[in-house]
Amino acid sequence: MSYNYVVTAQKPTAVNACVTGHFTSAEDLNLLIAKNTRLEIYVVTAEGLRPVKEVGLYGKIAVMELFRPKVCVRTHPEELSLKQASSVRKYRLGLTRVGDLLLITGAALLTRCALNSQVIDVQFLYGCQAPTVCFIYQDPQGRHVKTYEVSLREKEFNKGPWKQENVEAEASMVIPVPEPFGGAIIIGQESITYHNGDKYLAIAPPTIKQSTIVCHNRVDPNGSRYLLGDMEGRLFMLLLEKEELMDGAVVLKDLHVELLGETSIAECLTYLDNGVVFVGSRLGDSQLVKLNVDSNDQGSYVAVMETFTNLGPIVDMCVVDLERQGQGQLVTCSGAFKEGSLRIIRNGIGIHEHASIDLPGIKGAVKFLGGASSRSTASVLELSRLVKHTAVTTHTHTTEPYCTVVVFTCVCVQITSVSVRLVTQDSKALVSEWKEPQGKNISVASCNSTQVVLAVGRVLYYLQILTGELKQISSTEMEHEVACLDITPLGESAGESSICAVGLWTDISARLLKLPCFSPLHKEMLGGEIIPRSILMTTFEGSHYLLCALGDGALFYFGLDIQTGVLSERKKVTLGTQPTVLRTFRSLSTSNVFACSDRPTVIYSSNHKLVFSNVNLKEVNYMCPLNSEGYPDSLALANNSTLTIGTIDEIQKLHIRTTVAEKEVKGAVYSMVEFNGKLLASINSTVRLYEWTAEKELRTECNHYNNIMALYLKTKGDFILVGDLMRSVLLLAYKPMEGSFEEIARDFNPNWMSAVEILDDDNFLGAENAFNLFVCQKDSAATTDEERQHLQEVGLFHLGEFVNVFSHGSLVLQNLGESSTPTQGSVLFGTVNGMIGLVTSLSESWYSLLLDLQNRLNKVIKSVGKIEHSLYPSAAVRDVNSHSRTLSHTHTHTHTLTLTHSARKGAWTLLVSHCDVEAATDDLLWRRGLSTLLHHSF
Amino acid sequence: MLSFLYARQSGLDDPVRLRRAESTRRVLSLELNHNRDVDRIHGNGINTLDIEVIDGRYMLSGGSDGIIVIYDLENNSKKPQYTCKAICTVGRSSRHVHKFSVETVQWYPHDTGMFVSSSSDKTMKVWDTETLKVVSELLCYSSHSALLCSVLAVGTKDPKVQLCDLKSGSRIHILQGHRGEILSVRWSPRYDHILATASTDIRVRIWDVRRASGSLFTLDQHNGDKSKASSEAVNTAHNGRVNGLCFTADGLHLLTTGTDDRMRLWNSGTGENTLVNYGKVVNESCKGLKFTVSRGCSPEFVFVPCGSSVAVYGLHSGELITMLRGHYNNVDCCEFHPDYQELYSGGKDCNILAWVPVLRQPGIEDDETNSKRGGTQAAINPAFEDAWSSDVD
Repeated sequence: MSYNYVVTAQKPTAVNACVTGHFTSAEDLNLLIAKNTRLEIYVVTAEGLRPVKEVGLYGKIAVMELFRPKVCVRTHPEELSLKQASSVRKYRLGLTRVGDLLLITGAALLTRCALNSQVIDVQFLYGCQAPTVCFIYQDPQGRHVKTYEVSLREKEFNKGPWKQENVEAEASMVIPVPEPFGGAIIIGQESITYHNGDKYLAIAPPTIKQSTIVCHNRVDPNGSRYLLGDMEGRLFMLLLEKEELMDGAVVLKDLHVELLGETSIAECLTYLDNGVVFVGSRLGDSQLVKLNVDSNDQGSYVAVMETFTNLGPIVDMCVVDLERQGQGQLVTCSGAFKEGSLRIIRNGIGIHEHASIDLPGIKGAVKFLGGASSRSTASVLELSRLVKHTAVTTHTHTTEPYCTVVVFTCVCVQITSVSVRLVTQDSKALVSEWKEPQGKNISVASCNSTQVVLAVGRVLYYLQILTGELKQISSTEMEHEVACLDITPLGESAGESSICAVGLWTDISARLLKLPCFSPLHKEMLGGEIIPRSILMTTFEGSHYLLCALGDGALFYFGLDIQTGVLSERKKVTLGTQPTVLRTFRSLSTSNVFACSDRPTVIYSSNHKLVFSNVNLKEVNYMCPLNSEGYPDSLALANNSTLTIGTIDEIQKLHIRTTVAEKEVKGAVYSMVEFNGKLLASINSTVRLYEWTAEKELRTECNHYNNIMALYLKTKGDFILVGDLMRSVLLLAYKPMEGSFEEIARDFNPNWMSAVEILDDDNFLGAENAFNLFVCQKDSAATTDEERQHLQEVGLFHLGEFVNVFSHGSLVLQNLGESSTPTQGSVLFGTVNGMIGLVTSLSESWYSLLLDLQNRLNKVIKSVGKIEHSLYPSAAVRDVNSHSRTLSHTHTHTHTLTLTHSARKGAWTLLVSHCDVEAATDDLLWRRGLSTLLHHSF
Repeated sequence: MLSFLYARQSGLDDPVRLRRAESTRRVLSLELNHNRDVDRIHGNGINTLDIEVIDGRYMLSGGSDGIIVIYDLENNSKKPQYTCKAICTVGRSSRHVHKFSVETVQWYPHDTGMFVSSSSDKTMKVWDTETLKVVSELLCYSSHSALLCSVLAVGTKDPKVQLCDLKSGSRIHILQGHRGEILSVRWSPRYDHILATASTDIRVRIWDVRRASGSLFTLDQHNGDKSKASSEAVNTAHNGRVNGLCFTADGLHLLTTGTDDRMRLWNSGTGENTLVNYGKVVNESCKGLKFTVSRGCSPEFVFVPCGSSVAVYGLHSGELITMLRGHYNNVDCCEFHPDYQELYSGGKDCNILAWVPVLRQPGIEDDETNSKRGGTQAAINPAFEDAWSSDVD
């Protein structure tokens, strides 16, 4: 039996729907974006969009609208209504079209109406006595517009106030117009028509004929302006010109359409404020655009302010290792029509290299740069001079400076192995110097802008930096030699730390001492025999942490109480295999830690959970932040031979680069693969193997006919997996001796396939039309011929995403050093909505543990809209009978990441109490279980 | 096809659209195919067919000779050509066999381990599929039954419709209202308490079996318009005996056939006649008529036995799309396989014919392959059809 784990690497990026309104509070202007199963909530601010919350749903968002409950006297924030495929929730009076059914809903389903003729679009009208719906429908004669009044008492449709037969043959949208105009606008392929029963006005502007209008949004509450977007990504403004009659009534005088400019191909549009429009796209990147009063040189009124990357639809993809680092990169064919592009995706954090200098033995230079980093005028020239200067200084002192810190604008502290020096920066004059009384060498030191702590063997000294003077305040002797120390000021202590963190040799412990008296606060035995090499106190998202890196690349991290110095929540991760050096830097106004080692890692916090992201660099020995005019917000990174200056990409994003390419397909060849040096192709119902003749021409070697339509092919050795249009998967074996195909086994379930992959010799992965993944198993040991011919469906998982492509490979380094990663193999998949996920095999014990955890988490996590997790898979169109489900559900696992600490503990306690796992293993299981799976798998 | 695949791949279309379009194309291309054959076991006319819904693999047939046969529809031959094997038969040698004609066979909806049959020998039998033995037996007049979960509705020569509990084998309820022999009973696929019954009294009644009182309503072909009907014809569904019932897959509509050579489509929720005109649907059957509708197509189709052929109509358009000709005598029943858009029909000529969609032609460029596999080419060529049909006889 094989057990598989499905996890999301990149959430869906294609935008299905968006709305604007006052949602989080009456004052906030919010933008809500629906991305298939996820909902993102933003606040619109003067600086741009600020994310507030992101929620996942156990269902696909089909329609999204904001509404305000009318019964409440006080103005409530508008409440969100979410409609799942066929269920409607929290709707005052809603209208849903499900297939050929029209549902009118109140608190519950009010009425349904079967639509025999094809309904194209339906909307409620404004300004009617009774709720009135207006719809476009098609019958053999053409398309017509009709209105119906909804009788809430009888739950029936009654004849409405007006109708219009034989509107344009391609009429596709109804836009209800608010009062004073009332009525509706009907958008067609060539014309735009206004109706309200007694007034009829049609225009046929030539500009809209080029393409089809697919979305609209009202700009003004009075309905005088509308935005229209078409399939070519053009944005139009529809203006309703009004006219005041003698009796004071306002009527429509004329309609105008103006081309504003070009954007991404819009799926939905929403007008935010101040001429800013959000263009949600499913086929390309979503955009935030500004509508200007005046046109630019190209005649466009549209200026793109911000672009939101969208990978969907991922039509094809493959994993390559371009940089030969053992870390795969994913190349996807993304987008459609004019938005088509090739994108390169890599896990972790990208460093954009700006400059690099080859400098052997660079150790000292980087440390000096630590001092120069706050200088605002450093340029490349100056940099090289600084490097040279350092070389001179080191030469004269014949010692390497350990640490340099600019204390005031003109003074800096230089710590070398023999002394601590206070130097003015301009004149390079020595102001004050401190030496160990017996002249012993300083082994380690740490300083901030007001304090210096240094260790000479077992003795710790605490110095204070006063104006023009270094003053020794106290000293103490530790039990063992000091390996590393840190006095980074935390909290609101304004540049002065009351705690000193120390790592010791011999007993391998991390200790916290109070300053200035060096009284011990806390002692934490790290265990093992590897000494701590770097210790660091830092603050992420308001929580304080102590990080301690060992000589073997392992990292311990603890929660730190800065008042008492007590450590809690001990955890361990393996970052690399070499001694690790920890450095802090700030990126996008959040603090991060850079762990320098053979596998450099950036540590940051997301939702109060530390995240370890690897960097696209081979080896970094030292790192320090650099912020100068020439290199704003940069990092200086050094290894044994090179100094590199680069900027860091936005954290927590897959690294995406875009290029443009075209793909050409001819004939009804659905799939082609290289197979034993020959060409295997699927042509309609036939799987055909071509061999190369001596003249380099293709000649048919053999065929297999027993398919309805062979859409997908995958091969492994002599085996071929065929994905049929509607008959699931088929396993063929190629017989090289006979030059023929043999049917080995087939899955007899009527699955309409969308992608297939061979997991291993016995297990086959498929994705089908109803957004499910399934695993089939070959039973070679079966006793009867019939059983051997059947691929048994052993696992089923409702993904809720349409998978277009599977690809073997992983975006992380394969040899992680951590052999405990309990997974095997990895298959990436890409979906229509731009989601990238991973399927990996795990052992039965892990499967049952994770399944148990998932079930328990489901009891703790409240789902949005009260749509039960257990209902989600059953939303699949296909009935699944008592099949064993051995694909673990991960919808909730991704949820765990966003759990607060307390909720997570709650879930864990539940699990622990059940499994009889000792409390001590809590950390181990949690860390190895979820974080390993989630972060190491991706 | 490529455009549908592209639209599905890029998310322009709901994936269901490709499925519907392809299903529709396949239904429209149904024809007798030499690749598919069904074992000929019955020595007399075939009255009824049923394909189980769990795997879509096994089909039951019941014949006028009292024999019940189970066929395996799955292709295990590893070749496109295959014969649906009869895997077991309740033949004349079995002591459980029905004495007279089997009128209805039906699988238990949740498990292939059990099926029911009713016969004109005045019995209704519940069978264990494994052992082919009768687990319970009900005495009733010549009957037509419909099974839903554990409740069996039985229509008999008696105007009363009986509801039987399958577990105990006892009658639990009697529905009174009809004044003639019941010719067909069907449960709604949408609500498991709604039952439709058709009778020789030219009426169709819809029942809510949770209610003790009479039927919910009676279908009225004139939609309550008194002027069009004589007083005795009020609330009638047909102007002749109603001998066929079929709900659409979504349960929203009900089709009825009558010996007045009409077929009518009703809104099953309101009982309203939708007035779809199917024209003359020849119906000479004096017993129940087993006809069927397609599933998963857009638009949907009706398959109704019509003389010695099966007529295919558009469900909502009423348009006669094609006549499937192949049987040598009257067709009595047909059953649609929703997974593969195949149709199985049984007739008085003792044959079960499989109507299979035409495959798309493979690549045209290879002459050598075409000559090698002339068989498949022949399948597309109608000229080969007749030759094959005569093989069967």
